[in-house]
Amino acid sequence: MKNKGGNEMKRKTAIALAVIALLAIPLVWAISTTTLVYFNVASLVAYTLTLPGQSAVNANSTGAPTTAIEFNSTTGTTANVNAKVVGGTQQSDGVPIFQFDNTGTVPLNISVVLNSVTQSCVNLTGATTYAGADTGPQIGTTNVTVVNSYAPAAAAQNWYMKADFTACTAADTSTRTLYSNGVQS
Amino acid sequence: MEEMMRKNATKGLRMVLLMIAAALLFSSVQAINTGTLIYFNILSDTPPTIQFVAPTPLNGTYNATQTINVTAFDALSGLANITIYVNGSAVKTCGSSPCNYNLTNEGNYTFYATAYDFAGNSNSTETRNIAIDKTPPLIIETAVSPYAIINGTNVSLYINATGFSWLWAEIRRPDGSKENVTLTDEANTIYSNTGIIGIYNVTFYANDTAGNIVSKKDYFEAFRGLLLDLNVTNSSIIGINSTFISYYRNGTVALNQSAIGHYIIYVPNTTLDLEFYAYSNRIIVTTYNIDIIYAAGKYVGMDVRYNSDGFLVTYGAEPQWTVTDGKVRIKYDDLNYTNEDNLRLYKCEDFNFTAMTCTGTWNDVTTSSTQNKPQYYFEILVTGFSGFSIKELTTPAPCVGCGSGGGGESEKVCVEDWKCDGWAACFNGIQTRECTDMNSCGTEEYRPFTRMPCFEYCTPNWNCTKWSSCTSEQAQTRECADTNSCGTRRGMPATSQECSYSFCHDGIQNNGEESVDCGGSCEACKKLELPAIFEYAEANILCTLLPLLAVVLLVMIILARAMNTDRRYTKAFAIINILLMLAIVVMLLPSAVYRNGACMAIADTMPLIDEILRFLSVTFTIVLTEGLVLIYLKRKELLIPPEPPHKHPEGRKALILMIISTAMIIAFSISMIINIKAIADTTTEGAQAATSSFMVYMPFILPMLVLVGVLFWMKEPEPPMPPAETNRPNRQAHTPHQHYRKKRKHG
Repeated sequence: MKNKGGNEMKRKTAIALAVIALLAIPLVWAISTTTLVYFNVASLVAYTLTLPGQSAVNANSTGAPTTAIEFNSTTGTTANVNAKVVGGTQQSDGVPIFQFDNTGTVPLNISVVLNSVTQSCVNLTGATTYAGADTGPQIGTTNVTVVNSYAPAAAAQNWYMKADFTACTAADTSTRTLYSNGVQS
Repeated sequence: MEEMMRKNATKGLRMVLLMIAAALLFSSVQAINTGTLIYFNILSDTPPTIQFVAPTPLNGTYNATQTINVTAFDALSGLANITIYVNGSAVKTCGSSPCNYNLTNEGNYTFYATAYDFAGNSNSTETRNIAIDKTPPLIIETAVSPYAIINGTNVSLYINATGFSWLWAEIRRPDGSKENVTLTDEANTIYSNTGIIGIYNVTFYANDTAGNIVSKKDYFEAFRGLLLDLNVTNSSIIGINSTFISYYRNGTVALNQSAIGHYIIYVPNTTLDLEFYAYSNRIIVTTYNIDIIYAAGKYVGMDVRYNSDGFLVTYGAEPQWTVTDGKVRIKYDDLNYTNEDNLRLYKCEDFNFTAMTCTGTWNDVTTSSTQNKPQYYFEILVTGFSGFSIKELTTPAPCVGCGSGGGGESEKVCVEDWKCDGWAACFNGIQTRECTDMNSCGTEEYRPFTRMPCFEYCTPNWNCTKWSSCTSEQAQTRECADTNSCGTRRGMPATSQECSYSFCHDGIQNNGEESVDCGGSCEACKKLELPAIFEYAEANILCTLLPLLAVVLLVMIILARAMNTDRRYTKAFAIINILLMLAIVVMLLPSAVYRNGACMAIADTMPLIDEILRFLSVTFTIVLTEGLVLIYLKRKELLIPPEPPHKHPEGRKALILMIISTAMIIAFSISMIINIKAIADTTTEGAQAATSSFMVYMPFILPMLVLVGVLFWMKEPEPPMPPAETNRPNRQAHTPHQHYRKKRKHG
């Protein structure tokens, strides 16, 4: 009787050991390798320009065209005329005429410039705030910085533009092209 | 070989990697941009918008103040002002929109408005032309002719107006329907939709383009037609050339002329004014307000005599109907007089038209007449017709054939003075008479006609029905028919008359009655008054309750005899019956009093059934009750008790039950009296209902209940004791009844 109990114990112990042994087999049989991994991030310069009510336009090297905007004066002498998407939304406080978004991987310097000077009776100014656009830098044929070191992860950058008409006549109606340039900072 | 291929592959891979690196390097330095087209627009400012808005009038004519209402808007530079121009002049300038201006006065207006913006642009409305006309059209004259028509005939509607654009008449027919008829100015328009008898209200309208409208009301009436046969004759009953005009409300209804004075025409069957012209219209006789029925078949006598009885002319006028309101016009343009101012009009007090002589006195009525010198006539209002003469006071006796002018001495000539007999009866269409010249002049220049055509009139024979019952409208009618079928209403008796309707006997609560046929103007409604019952109810008791008492006593006697009852029981039943009778009297009395006497009630149709039912029910109840009790007593062999019933145990019970029964009936009757009085104080109908329901049926119930109690309460008689000495039936044994009979028989 005593031997029988001892056998039973032995048998259970043997089973437990066998299980442990089975579990230990992979450990005993594991081998290893080493792989060098490179995380490569390309220096991509890219941004989009969005006008109110319009789809975002990806900038490119040739100047991706956006929807046209306009500044209207009903009397010929009007200050701080808001930019307005032709046939669309007019700029207002909180609704910038331009909204830049850095979609690349590098910080950007963004500036705007006209292809030619405006009529003498028209003064175009811009700023990153609505109120600031009233007295912001004049936009002409020289680049005007919208934002410098615009990080890819940063929020969208607003740009407001207003125009002052002074003693303009119908003959002063004109058309210009505004380029928005983005370069890696 | 393989080595070589491996080197080439490696070389190619290097080239690709180099190109990729170059591309990446290039892209990292290339600037990118977008292009936005910018328009700098110097807009040439658009002029403001401007427009008239409601209720600014459109072109047209208006009858009230009109408001010019203009709105303008400028989206760019903004609205500077609005200016309204009327008839070329700026009448109002507004700094903002809207801008209003009222055109108040009558007249023609041309107006527009101009708006300016701050950019100097302007815009104007269209020019409008309106007229303000507040003056309505003028209806100068309207006429409805005739005012009285025969239904179904035409009526002329006439209007004369100015300043109108449309003329029409609205006709409201007797049935309430309306109809519009377009009219023409200064022309008659025929309206023929007159089939309904009654009043047609006509409203004449005139309106203009400005909306002004005026109206004028009038009306005409449509009546049934009446065939009027009328003769205008002279004193010799010869029809004369005449004209007959009938008027209604001073409007001509019909104008007829007849050379023989005979008129058979249809006229509206109503009251008309009749006017007759004769002798070249030198005499005009007018009779006002004549019911045309009474003029049918009548004559109007009109005749003339010249130079008679010292008068220049004498006219006789005698309508065959009674005249209380009339007028006579006599022209004297054909007479020989010297001074018109001296002409006098005379009227005879009593004029014999047939003889054309005045049997009374000629009275000068010049002052009460009207002399129209331009037209040479006298006109006088009269209440009866007679002879009328004209005399020139200063003129010598007139003569015939003296020539005109007068003043000179006249030639004496014989003046014919014809007197004629009456006309003979019409025979074969001819009437004749004899005429004699009283002056025997030997001439016949003025001899009246002695023959004339006549009409053999059909003489109606009217046969009328009895008068109908008098209606609540206090009228009764009857039908009258002409058995000769003359086709005229001449002489027809009246078919309607006033009567006195008795509201108090029509079985309807009307005419202010408090109840059916009582109260108000009728006899006061009757109410139950208990204190006075016995003062005047004796007659009622005698005529209704005594027969009942007689019947009951008779029944009681019959029952008593039939049952061969003991005398003492007979007395007992007599007492009981007397008590029952008293109860019945009390029960029936309220009803009898309420009805003011059952005699009257029985004579009346309505409560007869009630009375019969009540009488039969009470009688039947008593008979049934007593009969059942007696039958019971007999079966119990208590009718021949060995001792008086009040000494017999069961007899006492029976008496007690009878008394209780009687007492209950009396009590019930008293309660009923109280109830009936209470109800009668409120309404007589309530008392009648209570009397009918309770008094008729309750007498059945209580005695029956008592009888049932008797049957269950009284004990069965004890069986006779068996004879002690023998076991067989004793042939000499007697029932108590037999024993009692035997005892009486043997003393």
